[in-house]
Amino acid sequence: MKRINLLLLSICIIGFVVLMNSCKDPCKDVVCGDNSACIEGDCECEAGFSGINCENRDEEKTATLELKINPTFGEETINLFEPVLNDAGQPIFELTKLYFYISDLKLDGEAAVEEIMLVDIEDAELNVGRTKIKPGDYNSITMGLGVDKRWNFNDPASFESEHPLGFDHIGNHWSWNEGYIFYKIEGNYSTKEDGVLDGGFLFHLGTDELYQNVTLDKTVSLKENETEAIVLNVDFENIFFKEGGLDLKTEFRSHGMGEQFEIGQKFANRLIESLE
Amino acid sequence: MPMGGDEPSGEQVNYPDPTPYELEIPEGFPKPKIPADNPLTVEGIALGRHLFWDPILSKDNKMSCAGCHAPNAAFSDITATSIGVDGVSGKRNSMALFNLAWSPSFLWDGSAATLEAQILNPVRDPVEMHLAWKDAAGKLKSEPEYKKMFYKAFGITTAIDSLSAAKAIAQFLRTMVSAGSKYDKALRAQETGVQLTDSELDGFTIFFNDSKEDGHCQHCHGSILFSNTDDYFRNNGLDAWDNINQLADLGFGGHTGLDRDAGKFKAVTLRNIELSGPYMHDGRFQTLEEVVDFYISDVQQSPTVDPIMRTDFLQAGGLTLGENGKKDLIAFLKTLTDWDFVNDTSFHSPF
Repeated sequence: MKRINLLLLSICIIGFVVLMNSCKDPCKDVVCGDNSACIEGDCECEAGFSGINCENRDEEKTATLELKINPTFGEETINLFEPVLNDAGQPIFELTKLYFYISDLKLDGEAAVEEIMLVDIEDAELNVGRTKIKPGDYNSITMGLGVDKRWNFNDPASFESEHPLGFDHIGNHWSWNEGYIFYKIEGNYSTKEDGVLDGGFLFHLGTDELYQNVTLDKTVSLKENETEAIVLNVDFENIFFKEGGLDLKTEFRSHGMGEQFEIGQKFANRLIESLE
Repeated sequence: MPMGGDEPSGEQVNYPDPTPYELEIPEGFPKPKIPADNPLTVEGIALGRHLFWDPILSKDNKMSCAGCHAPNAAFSDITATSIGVDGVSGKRNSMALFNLAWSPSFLWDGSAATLEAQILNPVRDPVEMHLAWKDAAGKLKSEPEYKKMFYKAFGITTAIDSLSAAKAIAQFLRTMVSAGSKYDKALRAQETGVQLTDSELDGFTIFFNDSKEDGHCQHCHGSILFSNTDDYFRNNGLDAWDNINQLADLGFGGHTGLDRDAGKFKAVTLRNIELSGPYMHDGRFQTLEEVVDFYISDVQQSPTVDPIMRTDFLQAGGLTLGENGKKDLIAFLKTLTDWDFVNDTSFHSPF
C-alpha cells in the first residue's frame, strides 16, 4: 500500500507542477530591451525594428506625394503671364505670381514627412511640392495654408538657406514680428474692359489671424516607392468675377494688416471657397 | 603642399597650403554661400585686396577698382555714372560693395551669376578699365611680388590669369561685411547701450508699415540685409513707357531677353544708403530727399511696373507721407550707415 500511495503522491506532485507551469505567464520574468516586446517568452522586435537587440530601425515604407497648384479661370487652366481672353478675344485678366506655403499636410489623418512645403508655380524647382508619406488609399487631404505659430516667428537665418522658411526665400518673410507671407498672388486686369491690362491686384497675406486649415476631398492611391500627384485647383474666376467675389475696382490689394485686414480676410475666405 | 600648378623659378617649391580664413557671420545673417572652388584664405584675401587697389589692372595704370568703389561712398562712386580710363562715361551707377557674400547675383541687371564672373567685366570693359585680361595677366606675371602672392594664394605663377585674379578679388570682397550700423547696435541695445531717437523710431515704423501714411519700403528692402535677395529685380516705376523700345536701358530684361523683365533693376540694399548716392541704376537722384519724394508722388506707370508699385502707390493714389514723415524716414535710413565698416582700414589701400 505504501508503494501505491507514494506512486499516487508522485503523480499528483508532477501533475500539479505541470499544471502550474502551464498556467504561468511565460513572459513574466522576461525583460526585453528597447523596441522589442516579449511574445510567448521570447523577445521579438516591434514592427519597424530589427537586429539582435532590435537596435536597427527598418526603413519605413513610403510613397512620394506630389502637390501641384493649378490656377484656373472657371474650368480652364491659366498660366502665368498668359492673359485670359473674353469672348471678343480681348485680355481681361492675367496672373503673374502665385505661391503657397503648405504645412502639416495629412491624407486621411496620415501625416506627411515634410512639415512645410513651398509651392511656387513660377519656380522651376518649387513648382511641385513633394513629400514622403505612408502608402495607402486615401480620400481626403488636410493642410494649412501658411504656417502656424510654431513656425511663423522663427528667424529665417535659423534654417538652412534652402529650407522653405530659410534665407533663399527671404522675400516671403516680412519681419520678426509679422512672420511669413503665407501666399503671394499677383496679377493684372482690365479696368475698362478694353483689352488693356491696366489695373493690378496683389494679395500678400500672412499673420496668425489669416492662417487657415483646409480639408478637401481628394482620392489618391499611393504605392510603396511610387509617386502620385494631387492637383489643387484655384479658381480665379470665382475669386474675382463671380457673385460674392472681390471687387477689383476697390478690393485690389491687401497685405493683411491694419486698414487692409478686412479685404485680406475676405480674400482668404474666398480663396478657400475657390479651392478644389 | 602647394595647391598645384607651377612654382616661381629658383624659389623654394614647398610653400605651405594657404591659411583658411573664417568669415565672421553677423548675428541674424544667414550662412553665406562661398563657392567650393574658391574658399576664403588669408593669402587669397591679401592678394585680392592688392588687386582691388592697384591700378595695374587698367589700360593706363591709372585706375583701380577702388577708383569707382571708394570707402567714403560705401565702396561706390559719388558720380552718377563712373568715367573710365578713356574718359568715357558708363551708363549705370557704380554699385556699393559690401555683404556680397550673401548676394545670389550681381550687377544692376543680374547678368553676372557669381561674384567671380562679375569681376571679370570692369577690367575688360572699354568704358571702364579697358584692359584685355591677357594683357592684365602679362602685367601681373612681370611683377615679382605678385608672382609670390599668386603662388601663396593659389600655387601658381606663370599660370596667372583672369580667373585666379577674379577669385582673389572675390575673396577680398566677401570679407567686406557691413553689420555694425547704429540700427544693428540698437538691436543689441542691452549690450551696446545704443538706442534710436524718437524720430528714427518713427522712421522705422514708416519703413516697415503699409498704410497710406507709411513708406512700404520693406517689400523690396526687407530682411536683415535690407534687400530681398530672392526677388531682386523690379521695376520701381522710374519711367513711364508703353513699349520697350522707349527704354534707354532694358535692365534685367536685357539679360533674360523677356519683355516682362524690361525696365527691372536690382532692388539694392539700403544699408549704407546715406553714403552710396547718387541713387537708382542711372544715378538720377542726388539725395535721399529726392528719392523719397519720387516714391511719394512720382511713380510712373508701365507694363512691367512692380505689382507693389502699381497697387500700393499708383492705384492707391500715392503716399501721404508729410514733411515730418519724410524726415523721420530719412533719419531711420541714416541709422543704417556703418561707420565702423567704411573706416575699417583692412579694406583700405594696402599701398
